Amino acid sequence: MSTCQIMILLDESQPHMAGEPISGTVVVSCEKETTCSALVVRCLWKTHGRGNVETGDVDQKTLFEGTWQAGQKLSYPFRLDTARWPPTYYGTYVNVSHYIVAQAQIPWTRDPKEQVEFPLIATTAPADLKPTVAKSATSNSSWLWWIVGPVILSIVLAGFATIMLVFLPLIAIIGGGIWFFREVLPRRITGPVTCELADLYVVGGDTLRGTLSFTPQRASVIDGIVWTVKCEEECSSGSGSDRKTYRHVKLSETVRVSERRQLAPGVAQSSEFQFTLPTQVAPSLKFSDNHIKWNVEARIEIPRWPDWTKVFELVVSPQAASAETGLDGTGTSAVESPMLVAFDEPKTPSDGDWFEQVLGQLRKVAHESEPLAQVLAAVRDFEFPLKARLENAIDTPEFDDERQFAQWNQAQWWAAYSQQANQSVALAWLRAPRAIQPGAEWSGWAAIVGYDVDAQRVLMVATR
Amino acid sequence: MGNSPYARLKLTRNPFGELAVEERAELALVDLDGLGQWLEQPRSALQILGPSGHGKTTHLFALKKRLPHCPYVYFPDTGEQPLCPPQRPLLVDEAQRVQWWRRRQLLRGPGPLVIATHVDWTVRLQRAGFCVHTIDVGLPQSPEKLQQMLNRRILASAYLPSQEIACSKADPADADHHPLCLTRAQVVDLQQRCGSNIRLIEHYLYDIFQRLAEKGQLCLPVKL
Repeated sequence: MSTCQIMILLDESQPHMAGEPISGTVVVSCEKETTCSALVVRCLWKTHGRGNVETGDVDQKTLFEGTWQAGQKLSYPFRLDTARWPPTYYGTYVNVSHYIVAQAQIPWTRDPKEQVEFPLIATTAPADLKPTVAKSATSNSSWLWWIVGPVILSIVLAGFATIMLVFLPLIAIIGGGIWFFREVLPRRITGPVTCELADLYVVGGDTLRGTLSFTPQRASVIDGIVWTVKCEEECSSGSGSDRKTYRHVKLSETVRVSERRQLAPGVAQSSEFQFTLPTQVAPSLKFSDNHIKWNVEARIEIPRWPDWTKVFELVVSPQAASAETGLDGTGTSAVESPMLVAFDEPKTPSDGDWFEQVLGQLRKVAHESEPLAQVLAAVRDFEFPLKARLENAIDTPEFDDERQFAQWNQAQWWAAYSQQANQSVALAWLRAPRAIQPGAEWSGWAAIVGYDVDAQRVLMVATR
Repeated sequence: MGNSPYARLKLTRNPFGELAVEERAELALVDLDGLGQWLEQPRSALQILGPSGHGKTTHLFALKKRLPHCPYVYFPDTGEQPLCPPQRPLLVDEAQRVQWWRRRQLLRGPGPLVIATHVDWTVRLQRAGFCVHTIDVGLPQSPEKLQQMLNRRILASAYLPSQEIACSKADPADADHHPLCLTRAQVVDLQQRCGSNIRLIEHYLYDIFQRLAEKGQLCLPVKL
C-alpha cells in the first residue's frame, strides 16, 4: 500500500475541443513523510478493446520534486495541451479514450498513480489520413501490373531457388488469369467506365455524390448498378503467428441506382448516386493495430459474368454541430460547438431512456431477491432526471439492509408518481425544499437507493 | 467519462479487452513463490508448458516484472530468429520455434533459463545438464482460481461514478467487489464451454460485456 494517495480534479467535466488546454488540480495526501523524485502529470490518449493497446503522449509536466510531510494534503494545479486527433470514440472492437494521468515517482516503493478520462471532440482529420484513390477496374496502368507484378515476383523468388523457375510460368498464368477475369472480362460488356466520387474528405451528415457512366460496345444486359457505403472497425491483437485480426462492420448501406436493363451498343449509360452519412459517425482512424475504415464501392452487376467494381476509400471526420445534441444529450449551451464524435448513435440511450430501461429491469426482477440486489448494486450512485407529482409524506420505507435504513431514516420521504416513467416512487430529501406539498410537481435529479417490493415503488433520493 | 457505454456498468472499459504488457503483468495471477530462489541456481531451467491461450506469455511477463533485469526474447514464427543475449536468467517466449543451431547455442550457454513452449523440452534441457522445473499451464484451473483471475480483470476496470472522477484502480486488491463480478457457477459454465483456454474465455466474456454495454443491461445472465 502506498504512503500517499493521488486524486485528479478537472476544472471542467464538459468535453474538450481538440488542442484546447485542459486544466485541473492534482491533490496529494500523505500518511507519512515521503520523498518524491517527481510528480508528473501527463495528457495522453489510449486505444482499448479487442486490438493491441496503442497510446499517444500529448503533453506532460512535472509538478513537484521534493519531500512531502506526514499528514499533508497538497494541491498542484496543472494545465496541459490536449491532442488534435483522434477524437474520443467508443465502438465495438475499437475505442479511443483520452486521459490525464498523474504519477508520483517514489524510490523503493510502488509509484502511486491516478487517471481521469475526459471526452475530446475533434472534427478535423489529420493530413496523414489520406483517402486512397480508387482501385479501379478500368485504370489505364493497373492491368499491366497484373502481368508484370507476378513476373517480377517470380524472378525474385527464382533468384533464391532455381526450382522456383518451374513455378514461374504457373505464377504468371495465375496472375494473367486474375487480370483477365477482373479487368478484361467486365470491360468487354461495359466498355470504358468513368466513375467518380465528388469528395473523398467528408464529415458526418455530408451527402456523398457519385457518378458512373459508360458506353457499351455491344448489346448486353446488366443486373443493375449498386453503390455500397461501408464503415468497418478493424483491429489486431497479438503479434507474429499469434496475431489475429478482428473486423466489425459498423455500417453497410447499399444504394441501387439502376435496375436490370438491356444495353444497346454505342448508347451512353449514366447514373448518379447520393447518400447522406449519419450525423454521428465513426471517424476514420489509422493506427498500427486499430483502424476504422470507410469506403464506397461502385459495382456494375453483370449476369453470369464478373462484375465491374471500383472502390473509393474515404476519410470521415465527425460533424461540427450545435450543442443541442451534446455529449449527454442535455444541450445546456446555446453556443454553437461541435458535438461529440463518434459513438454509435443507437447504442447509448439518453438519460430518460436509460431510466426507463432501469425501471423495466427492476420490475422484471422485483420478486427475486438476488437479481434485484444485483440490479440495485449496478445502478446505485447513478443520477437520473425525474419529474414527479408529490402525493403525501410517508414513513421511511423498509430496506433489506439495516445500515441503509439507518442512513435514510433521517430523510423526509414522500410518495410520488412519475407520469413520464409511469412509475410510483418514494422520494427522499435530507433537506426537503420549502415548496414541498401534496400535489406539487417536482423535477430534478435523483438516485435509486432501493425498491419497495410490497408497494412496488422505486426508492429514490433527490440529489440536486 | 462522457457518454461512455461502459460508465453505466461502472466500468472504464471492457474488462476483457487486450491489455498493455505492463498491465498484463500487473494483473497476472500466477504463483511465482520460490521460483526466484530456483532461478538462482546456475543450471536451472523453468519450463512453462502448454497450448496457446493458456497463459504462458502472461507467466513470462509476470516473471519479467519480478526480475526486471532479465532479458526477454520472443521467437517469431517467420523471419529472422533473434540473437539470445548472454545475460541470465533469460526469458524465452515461443521456444518451440527456436531453430536447432540457435537452440544449441542457447543450451550450451550458461543458465538459468526460463522458456515458454508448446513442446516439452525436459529431455533436451536435462541432456544439456539443466535441472528442470515445469509449470504445466495446460492443466485445468480450479473454478475458484479462474474466478479470481477473471474478477481481477473486472475490478481493474471498475470505477466509482459517485467520486465525480473516473479512476481506474491501480491496485485491484483495493476493490473487493463489483456488481458484474462473476460467480463460481458462471465460471464453471465458462469452463464447460471453453475448457481451460483462458484466451477463449476472455474473448467470450469480451462479447458478453460488450453486449451489456451496448444494450444498457445491468446484470450478467445467470448462465453464461
